[in-house]
Parts: sequence; structure tokens; C-alpha cells
Amino acid sequence: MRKLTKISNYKEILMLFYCLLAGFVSQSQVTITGIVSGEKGVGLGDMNIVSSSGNGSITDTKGKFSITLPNTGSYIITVSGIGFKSSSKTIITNGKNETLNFTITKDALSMDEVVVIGSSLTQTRKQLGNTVNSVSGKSLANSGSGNLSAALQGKVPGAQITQTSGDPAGSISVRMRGTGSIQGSTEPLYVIDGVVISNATTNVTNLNVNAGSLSEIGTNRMADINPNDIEKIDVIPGASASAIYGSRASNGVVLITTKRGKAGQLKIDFSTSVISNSLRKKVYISTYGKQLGTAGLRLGNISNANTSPTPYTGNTIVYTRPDGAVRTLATSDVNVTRYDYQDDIFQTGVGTDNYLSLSGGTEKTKYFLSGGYYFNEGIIKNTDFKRINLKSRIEQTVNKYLTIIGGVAYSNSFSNERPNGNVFWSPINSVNITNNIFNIKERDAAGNLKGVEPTRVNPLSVIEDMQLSQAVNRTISDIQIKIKPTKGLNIDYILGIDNFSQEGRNYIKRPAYATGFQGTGYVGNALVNTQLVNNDINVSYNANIKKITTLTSIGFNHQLQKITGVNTDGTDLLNGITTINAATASTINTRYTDDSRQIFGGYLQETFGYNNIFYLTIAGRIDGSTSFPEDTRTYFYPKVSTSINISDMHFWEKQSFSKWFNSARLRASYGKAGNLSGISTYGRFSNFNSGNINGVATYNLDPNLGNSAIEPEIASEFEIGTDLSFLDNKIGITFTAYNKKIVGNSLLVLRNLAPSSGGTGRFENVGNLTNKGWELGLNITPVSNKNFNWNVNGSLSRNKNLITASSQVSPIFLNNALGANSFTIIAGESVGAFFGNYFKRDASGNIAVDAVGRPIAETVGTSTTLATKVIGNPNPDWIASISNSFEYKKLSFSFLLDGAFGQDVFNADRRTRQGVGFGDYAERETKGELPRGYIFSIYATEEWRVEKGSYLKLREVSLSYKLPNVAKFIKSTSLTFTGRNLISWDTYDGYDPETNAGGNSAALRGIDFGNVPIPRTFQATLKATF
Amino acid sequence: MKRRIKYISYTISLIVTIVALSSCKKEYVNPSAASIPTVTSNVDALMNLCAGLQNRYTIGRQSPLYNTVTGGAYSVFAVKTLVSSNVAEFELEIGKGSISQGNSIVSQLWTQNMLTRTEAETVLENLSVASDATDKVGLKAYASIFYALSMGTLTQYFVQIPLVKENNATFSPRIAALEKAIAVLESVDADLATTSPSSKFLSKIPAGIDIKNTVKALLARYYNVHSMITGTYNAASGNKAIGYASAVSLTVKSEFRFTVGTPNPIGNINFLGTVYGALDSSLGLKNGLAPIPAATDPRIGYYISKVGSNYPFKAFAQGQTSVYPVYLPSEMTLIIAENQARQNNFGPAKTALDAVRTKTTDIYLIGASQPAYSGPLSSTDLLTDIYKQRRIELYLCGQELEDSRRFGRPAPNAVGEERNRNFYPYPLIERNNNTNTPADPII
Repeated sequence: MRKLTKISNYKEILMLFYCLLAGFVSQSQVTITGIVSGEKGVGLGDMNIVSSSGNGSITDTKGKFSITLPNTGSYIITVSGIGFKSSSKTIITNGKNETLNFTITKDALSMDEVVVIGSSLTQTRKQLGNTVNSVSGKSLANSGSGNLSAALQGKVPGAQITQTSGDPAGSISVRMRGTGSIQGSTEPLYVIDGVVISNATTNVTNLNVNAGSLSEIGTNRMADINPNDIEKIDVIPGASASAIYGSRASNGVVLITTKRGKAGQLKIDFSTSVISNSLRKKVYISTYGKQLGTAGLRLGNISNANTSPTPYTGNTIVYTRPDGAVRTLATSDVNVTRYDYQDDIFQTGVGTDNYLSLSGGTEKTKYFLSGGYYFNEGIIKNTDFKRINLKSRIEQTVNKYLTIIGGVAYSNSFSNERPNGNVFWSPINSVNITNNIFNIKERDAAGNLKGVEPTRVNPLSVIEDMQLSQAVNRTISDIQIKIKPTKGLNIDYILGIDNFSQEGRNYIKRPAYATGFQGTGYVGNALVNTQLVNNDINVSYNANIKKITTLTSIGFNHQLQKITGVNTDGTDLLNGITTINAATASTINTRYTDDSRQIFGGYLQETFGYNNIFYLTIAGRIDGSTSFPEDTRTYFYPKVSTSINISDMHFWEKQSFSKWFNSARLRASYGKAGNLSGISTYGRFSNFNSGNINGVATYNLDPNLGNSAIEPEIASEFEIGTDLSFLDNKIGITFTAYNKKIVGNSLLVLRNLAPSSGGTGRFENVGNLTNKGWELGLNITPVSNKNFNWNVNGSLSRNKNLITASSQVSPIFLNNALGANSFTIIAGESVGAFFGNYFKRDASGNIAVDAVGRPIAETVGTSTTLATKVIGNPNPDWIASISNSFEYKKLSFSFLLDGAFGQDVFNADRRTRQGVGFGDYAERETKGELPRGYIFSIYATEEWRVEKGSYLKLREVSLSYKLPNVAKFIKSTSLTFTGRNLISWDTYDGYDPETNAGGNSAALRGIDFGNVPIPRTFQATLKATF
Repeated sequence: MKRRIKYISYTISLIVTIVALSSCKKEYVNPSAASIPTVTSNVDALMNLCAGLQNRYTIGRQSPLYNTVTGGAYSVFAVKTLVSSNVAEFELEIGKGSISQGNSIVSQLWTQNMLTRTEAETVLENLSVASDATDKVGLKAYASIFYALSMGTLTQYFVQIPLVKENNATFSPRIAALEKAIAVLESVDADLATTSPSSKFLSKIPAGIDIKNTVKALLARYYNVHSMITGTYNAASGNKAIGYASAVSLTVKSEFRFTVGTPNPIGNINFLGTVYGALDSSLGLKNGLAPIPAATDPRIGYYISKVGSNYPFKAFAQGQTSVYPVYLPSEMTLIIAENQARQNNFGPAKTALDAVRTKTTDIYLIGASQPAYSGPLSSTDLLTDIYKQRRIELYLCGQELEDSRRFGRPAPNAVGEERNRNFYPYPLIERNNNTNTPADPII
């Protein structure tokens, strides 16, 4: 091997790279240096410095900056930063280097903060008539989670962010202002640096799980994004906000700005973490050494004594349940040894998160390069998630007219998974549904795990012999061209391509014992390719006529989406092969899917401003999607919003209250948007599907018929709000009330059809939906001085979700993994309301019990038909969070409490544990503390499975210390200890009420069915900047 | 420079506009599914749809085969649920008012038979696509068989049935549905007398069904049902039943066949062992009809085994690849016996009955090995024994509810009740979406 002797140290390599990137720029310039400080004279780091020449810089940790300007001329230099009011000064250069200092004041409401409103368009917050919530990259950094969406939990007012599974590659759902659709996506649109990216949940593992067409289980692809790369996130919760994204943003937009290079010398950021994950809480599993009936009697609490394989000779009682079911129940018990299988499937998972970024540049050329390696084990044995990120971004100012930006972000994600909770052969469910009287560690002579009770699977077989994995290779790349032909005119063009491939492998080894679950083994391989190509062009023109400012923008977006996949699976496996090649030919089933569509739209938006006091924005937009028939494809959506900055009016300063009442603003916004994702790509066509019988090719009618008259959902949203600040801006309050609706009977559902009409379902526009509520945000800085800072952030929001009309005779039952008709769409109820049987109540409203104390199920009249009604609602009434952060010299400490209140959870597992015989109620019945037949009396009644799901969590705790400088080339180092999900205050009789077996499904919510609980996480992080 | 930028911006705008205009008209069609016209305009595709009919009718737990076998068996107490979390099966076991409107077996009985009928109609409505008479007769016969099976199954379980596919369809009495099935079968029976299905057609459908014999056997079965559908014996229909039953070859098998990939739906749940099995060795026969001891009738051992306190199925419901006969030869013989008995022709009735009772084997190796009938030669007594023979000989045939009504067995809640329902309620998926749905039968 040839040695690179000439380039011997890293600095030289970087210099070489730097030169390659930068090209050579020569122009006579002056350097302006200065310090940006806060109220108490403390230097402020990370402040943005922008000059009207187009150059920019950033302050170091002590507040120092330097910026170069052309030799002569008059320039405006503006300082801005999150949480501070921006400040501008004019400087006339005359060939000499100069000093320019700024003192800026706190801005609790960030009114002057520049927020991204779409693509490359930015406005200051005070110009906007709608809410934009911003989250800085810093507050994502110490969250204790490697997942961006999880790191946002508790930080976005009005957003319900739920980690639906504790799997290391589990999904996280984000709801802005309630559930806004049933059939379509209710996740917000994610945009990174102007490029729309996919957050799809495309299942390539668990191919043999049918959790219902509405469920979205598995990893949602925001998991590929490295939170370390993020500078800032702007969240627009409402449809009224964004003419730029239009209908794609009907559930809100999350605009992510990644870190970028700043002019100046090379900056290196390095961080490394160690992570530990553990089970926060075990569920109660009885180890009481008795079993009713005989040792071999399965489901002893609820099954007939005479179904025991060995004769039962003890006493029995006969119990006839109100639904007519009769049981002859054993009343004597036998000794058994009970185990807690939780000890065999859970582990403490460890992980690591490593990150390195290199950034810098000149005034003309800026670069940012980063790499990350994240590995995290789950709390279920043999589960993990690994992510490798590589990112580069270059910005070149060609001249004063033209800037070119380009970037590539590559990620490779790999997860080892176990079967999903929705099946009985998953880790949690195999524990829930298998009587715990077997020593599951026993093996036969050949070393194979032994079976447990008939039909069930040994939980350790799930851990050892069921291998599921997912590999994702993803590239998000973009080219952006910014043209400024004349003053005030901006033309931006963005070409963004998000491309990823997913490979899923599923292998369930043929068990060495008889079992009803995948008894001959199962293998499935899936390959899915996703490509999103986005073209966005925006033209804006800014003109000022005296006190009136106008901003006219016009733009067009086009997105091509192509998702193609091949799924192959089979059973009856040969030993020794773990791919589809192991399956017996006649069992192999292959499916190819092609999901192609185009989404396009254009808009015209006009903002008028008067003297920084009054702003009015009017916009119109046309949107279309090829998923809809040509006749109903394109629609026009109007928007209007206004913002009135009362405290900027002249009278305000003259008032005495202005001394403590610093600012006040009123805003209102109204807009319409469609939901273009409401139907599947080909939902407008009727089709025949192919298949086979005994190897002979078949056609069968797809019973979900096409609908050539389908229309997009029309969402309208009205919001009104105010932003107030008090006491030298130490207290900031924002309040927004909204009314978000699906109107015009346009709510889309895959509705049922009478089978006599020739099909069983069809996409139809059937009703209306509303989400009404309000959001309150609070920012208080009780103490702020040179040595000590204390900051409090709080948010409280309320939402009421209601289906207000439905032309479908209700209820519509939602297909789910439980197979229960318990999740519904009913006019007058919330989306996904729980529906089912319930208990009779006595005169005082308590559950009525029979003579021996068993609950009585309500029946219709005198019949044995169980009565049904709505018994629960998975949508929270309240979402609240509060964070406190303290900084004392080099030490900082913060904690975040986050909660959701008023929702119910359908806890299927709790009831299963009782029936199988080791739940707490089963134990009490066995001991005689509950009447015999108690479990059977509640077993068919769904109300027993509905529990209060309110929770308050200690979501984050973080303690950070800035280490003393050990070497000159190290700018700063810090050590941080973070805890995540340490405590949950709830009354829930399960692992965690924050869960959902339906994953990211819009309508299937709050279902606890074999879900992996969210771990308690500890993380230690060392950060250094060079 | 400025000019160049202008050109760049114009070019970008132009490209984007072109893309935009072209995209708006783009129609994506699903390359992984066939559109309706591609199937209905092509003779080969219609043959594939015929194979699909058998797929629809026999494969999976939602299939009419699974649900009619399950419904028929539960309605006469012939089977028991092994794990009560099988809610739909468990409701059928209790029967009477416990069968909820949302019961999935009842829903699937309705839905999948309706879909089978819709698909069969699609073939029958597009027969003109076939230019070759032998292709055409194959299409017509296969579609007619499944049309009749779907309509016949619906008539067993529901009081009224819509005769044609339409939105908010109107309901007709079940006799009209049965007559439509008979008409369709008779039409193709006439065609089959002169024309045989092409070898091309036979190569496109799964092996196992003997078309000519099956058409006649189903005519015998449905004329037999028709003869008593009003409660009063219709001798004309009875004679038709005798005629068609006599025309069926008793030495030719006609059966649904399965593979591991497309398994026998009842065999599949029997293989799992978690859904249902036989009640016990009485097969649910009551009021002195059960063979005592069970071993005296070898057919009990032919159909079920005993494991612990459970009675798993054997024979046609044993495993994933067990064949399921479309009809058994003995069904034809017993149809003859039944109609002769109803017409008081006791000699021919006893002859046919004894043919079943005394046989020691048949093409499916079912041997009854019973002595010849020695009871009184009365219509009532003969019919009782014919009923008993049907219940044992045709165990899990999916016709038990119709048989129980037709033979006037004790109704639900009557003394010595032998069935737990007379008819099923209409499923919610129909009721909620069709305002013409009639009131549910009380039991």
C-alpha cells in the first residue's frame, strides 16, 4: 500500500477539502467584529448575524462574532436568535475594520423570530395570522431518544405525540389538533430544508399479521432522520396556515431546518453517548401455586371442568351467564408451580449514539458534513435498531443574483424485531396467553425448546426462533436554486428526491412441538422501493411603499410518488434455510404492488402589512391528486389571515400599563384544504384480483368496489389567538382557539355496502368531522442573571373530536387485530370510539352483581343478546406539558413533565391474563376471594377491558455540566446525564397507557394488545466542540 | 449574467409548467389487478374466474363451504366449540337469541354467497364472449353450479333473499331463490346433454368436480328441498328429485380438492384444534336416534376420533388436504328413499334406504354395515330413519338445518328440541346498508 506521507495530519486533509469546496474568492473587504450581549451584559452564543450584503455569521459561546463586508457602502446588520428580539444597526464601511456591539432583549414570544412557512419562504412570526411553534435543535439534543418524533414529545403545544410501541424501531404518531381524517393520513407533512419527505409506515416485517386495513404497524420512516443534524423545527399545526403546501399540509406541517455551515473556520462537533433501556414496570402475574380443576385443565377459571384431559372428580358449580353461556366450573384446586415469564423475555438493552459534524466555509461557500452511528437495544431480548447517517450540504453564493444549494443525506437503518403485538406469537402476547405452569427453559434431547400447552407457543421460541429484520437504505437529496433578479424579487426552485428501499425478512422456524401458531414455520421476504420526487418553484416579490409593505408570492409544487414492492411468503419449511427458499412451493404466495400517484398544486398569496402593526394575507390555491377521478381531481382552496400588533401602535407606549404589559397581538386565520391521501391509489376502480386454487390460476372480484365519483375531503379551519407578554418580557402567553372541520359531507371512509349490491365496501364521502379546541402556551423566566437562569415552559391544550354526520347507517366497525367489533365510526361520537357490551348498573350506579357477587352483563330486554353501546373514547380531552430548566454557571438541570388526560384504553391483555389463569383477578378467584365464575362473568363483556388511560410522565430529566477546557483547540466540552420516561403517574392496569396496537392508524387508537412497553431510558453524553 | 439567470428562470418555469400540465391528465391504473372489462371480454379470463368461483366458495374461514358446514352442524348440536374466544362459533353453539346481528359466520354466509353469486352472474352474463360451444358450455356449467350452490346455501339459512344484484335490493321469499337456482341448473343440464365442456376449459379449472353429475346431483338436492319448502309435499318436485338423483352416477366422485397452499377450511381448523370439534360420539343426534353404543355404527369412527375429552374430525374434515365431496352418492340414494316414502311408496323407499344402511363400503369407503330397515313401513317411521341415516352418513354436509326443518324435527324450545335456530338473522352489513332488509326471524 502506498502511504500518503505528504498529507500527514487531519488539519491538512480538512484544509484540502475546504479549498476544494470553497474555490477561491478574492475581493477587498473589511471585517466587522463585535459582541452580542443580553440584558445583564452576558455574551450570547449561537446568535445569527446577517448583513444586507448577503453575508452572515454566528456568535461563539462568548457572544463574539466577525463578519466581512464589501469595502465601501451602507449595510444593515441584523442580529437574531431564538428567544430574543432581533436588533438591526446600519454601518457605513470605509475600508477600515470596525467594531459593532449589540445588546438584545429577551422575547418571550419570539415575535421577531424568522420562521419557515414553506419551501424557502420565511416570515417573522408577527406577520403571521396563524400559530407557528418552534423547537430548537438544542432542546431535542438532550431528550434521551434517538428518534426525532419522540424527542418532540411535550414540546409542541396542541400536538399529541404518542410512542405507540416500545420497540426500538417502534412507531411514533403525531396528531395536530386531533384526528382530522379516518381513511387518510393524520400525520403532519414533514419537510426537511424545503424537501417533502416520506414518513410512511410501510410494513415489510410481520407480513403474516393482519391487524386490519386501517392499522399502520411498524416503523414510521422519520426514524431514519438523525436528531443531531437538526437546527430548528417549525411546526404549523393547522390547515389554514400553509398555502405553500396546501392540501398535503391538512394535518399540519413540520418544517425541519438542518444545521448548516457558517462562515468562519472549521467547526467540529462531536458527541458520544451510552444508553441503557429497561422495563419501567412489570404487570402483575400471579405465582400463586394453585390451579382450579386439574393441572391439565386449560383456562381453568372459565372452562368446563369436564374438558380436563384427566378426569376431574371434585365439586362443581353450574353458572349460566346472562348471554346464555353455561359453565360447569371446578371448585377445588390442585398444586402447580407458576413462573413469571416476563423475566425470560425482558432484558436491559444498551446502546450508543455517536455523532461528528464538520462545518464552516467562507462568505460565499458554506459546507456542513456530518456522520452518525446510533445503536440501541430493546427491552425485549434480541431486538435492536441501528442507524448510520451521512449528510453533506453545500451552499454556494455565485454572485449577488444567484445562490445554489445542494445536499445529500444518506441513512442506513437496520432493525432486529420480534413478531408484532397483534398476534399471539409475539413476545408479550405469548406470555399473556400461555398458562404459566410450564418451565419454558426446558429442552428436549436435541436441544429444542419444549412446547407449552396445546396450540400455544413457548415464549422463548419467540425470542430464539422467530427472526424478523428490516434494512432500509435511504437517500434524501436536493438541489436548490435561489435567484434574485432585482431587488425584492426572489425566485426559488427546489428539486428534492427522497428515495429508499426497505428489505424485510421474516423467519419463524418450524417448531419442534405442535402449536397452532405458525406450526409448520413461516418465511416471508419483502422488498419495497419508495421514491418521492418533488419539484417546488416559488416566486416572491417584496415591495414597500412608505408604511405599506407587500409580499406577493406565487408558486407551484409537483410530487411524483412511486412505491413498488414485492412480498413473498410461504410455510411448511425445510430446515436449514431461513429465506423463502425454505417454503414448500404450493404454499408460496407472491404479491407485487405498484402505488403510483402525482400530487400537484399552485397558489397565489398576497400579504399586506401596515407599519409593522397590521398584516393581512389572502391566498388561493388549487390542488389535485391523480388518485381521484379526473372530474373531481382539482379543487380551489381559499385562505385569509390577519395579525394585529396592538402594542406596536402609538397609543400603547403612552399607557402606564405598558411598563409591565409589554406586548399584545391578535391574530385570526381561516383556510380550506383538501386531504389528498384519503383513498388508496386505485380506490376509484373496481378490479379482479389474481390468485390460485390448488395451483390453478384464478380471478376473484375485489369486494371493495371502485367509486368513480369519489371526491377529496374538504377541510376548513378557523383559528383565532393572541400573544401577550408581561414584566419585561419575562412572561409570555400565547393562546389559540380553533375549529377544524371536514365539511360538505366529504369525510371519506371505506364504507360497507350491502352484499346484495354486488360488493362489500367502497370508498365514499359520507359525513362531517370536527375538532374543536384551544391551546395555551406559557413561557416564564422567573430568574435571569449572569450566574443563574430559570426558565419555565408550559402548554395546555384541549380538543374535542366528533363525527357530526354520517350517511352510513352507523356504526361502521373498524377491522382490527382483536377481531372485535369494538372500534367504530359513529355519528355523534369521536373517531375510533370503543363500542361493546357493558354491565348492568344498580340503583346507585354501581355495577350490578348477582347473588354471589358476580357482575351482570346487560342484555337486550329479557333476551340473552348482550346490549351494546359506546363504552370508551381513545381521544384525550387534555394534553399538557411543563418543563423547567435551570442554569447555574456551568451546571444546568431541566425536567419535562408531559401528559395526556381523559382518554380510554382498550386493554385486551388484562382480560386475557384472567382467562388464562394468572391475572390478579384469576388469583383472587382461585383463592376464593372472588366468587367462583367471576372471571367467566366478565369475560364476554367488553366494558371490562376499557380502562382510564390518563397519564402524566416524567418524560425527560437532564443534568449537564460544561467541563473546564483541557486543551486550546477544544472550544467547549460538556457532560450530560439524561433520563427518559422515568416515571408515569397513571392508574392503568397494564404496562403503559401510552400505547397503540394500531400503530399510526388514524382511527384505531388506544388499543393495548401485546404491545411492547415504552422503556425507561438513561443516557450519558459527552459533547465536544473543536 | 443577469440575462443568463433570466433564461435559467424562464427555462425552469417552462419545464415545471409542462410537467404540471401533463400530470393533471395522467391516469394510473393498477398493474397488479385486472380491470372489469379485461376479464369480462376474454374467454380465458372468464375460465380463470370460474376457477375463482371455487376459490371463493371453498377456501378460507370466510368461505361458504366453511360457514355452511359450521352453521349446519351447530344448528343441530352436532359440534362444540373448543375455545370460547371463537365468538361467532360460540354464539352459534348457544343459538336462539344469542346469535348476534354482527355474528361473523352469519355475515360471511350471507356476504360470501352473495359474492359467489355475483361472480357466477358475471360469467353467465358474458357467455357470448365464448365463440366455441364447448368452451361456452364449460363456463355456463361451472358458473351455474356455483350460482346454485350460493343460492341454495342462502335458502337454507335465510327466510328471504334478493334475487338480483342491485343497490337497495328487494327481497323475495326463499322459494323464489331456490327456483332460480333450479332454473339455471336445468338450463345447463339440457346443454350438457348434447355438448361437453372443452378440454381447454377443464385444464383451466381445478380437478375434482365432475360437471355433468354435479349438475344433476344439485338438481336432485334442490328439487328435494323444493318439494317440502312450503311445508306441504309437492310430488311434482319430489319426482323431479327422484329423476335427477337416479341419473347421477354413484361410481363417480365429484369433490372439492385442496393443497397446503389452499387448504380445506374445515380440515384447517381441525388441524389447529382450537375452534370446534364433534360434540361427542352421538354426533348430536337426540331423541333415541344416536347409535348406541357408537361403535355399532362404523360411520361414527369414519367421521370422528377421540382425543382426551375432545372429538376431532376425520375423513373430509381431517386435515388441510382432505377432499370435501360436493355430494355423496348416498345423498342421492337417500333423496330417492325420502321422496318415495313421502309418496307412500314404501317398497322403493325401503329398497333405497337399505341400500345405504347395508352397504359395507362405497367410493369414499363409507360403510354403514347396518341391518336392513325393520321398522314399521309407514311414512313417518321411514322418514325418521332416513333422517337419521342422513345425519350419520352425511355428517358435516352443511345441510343439517334444512334437513331438520324438512323432516319436521322438534323446533327450538319445543319438547326434545333438536335444533337451536329455524333461520338466521340478516347480518348487519346488509341491514345497515339496505332499507329493504326484512325483520329478523325471532328464532
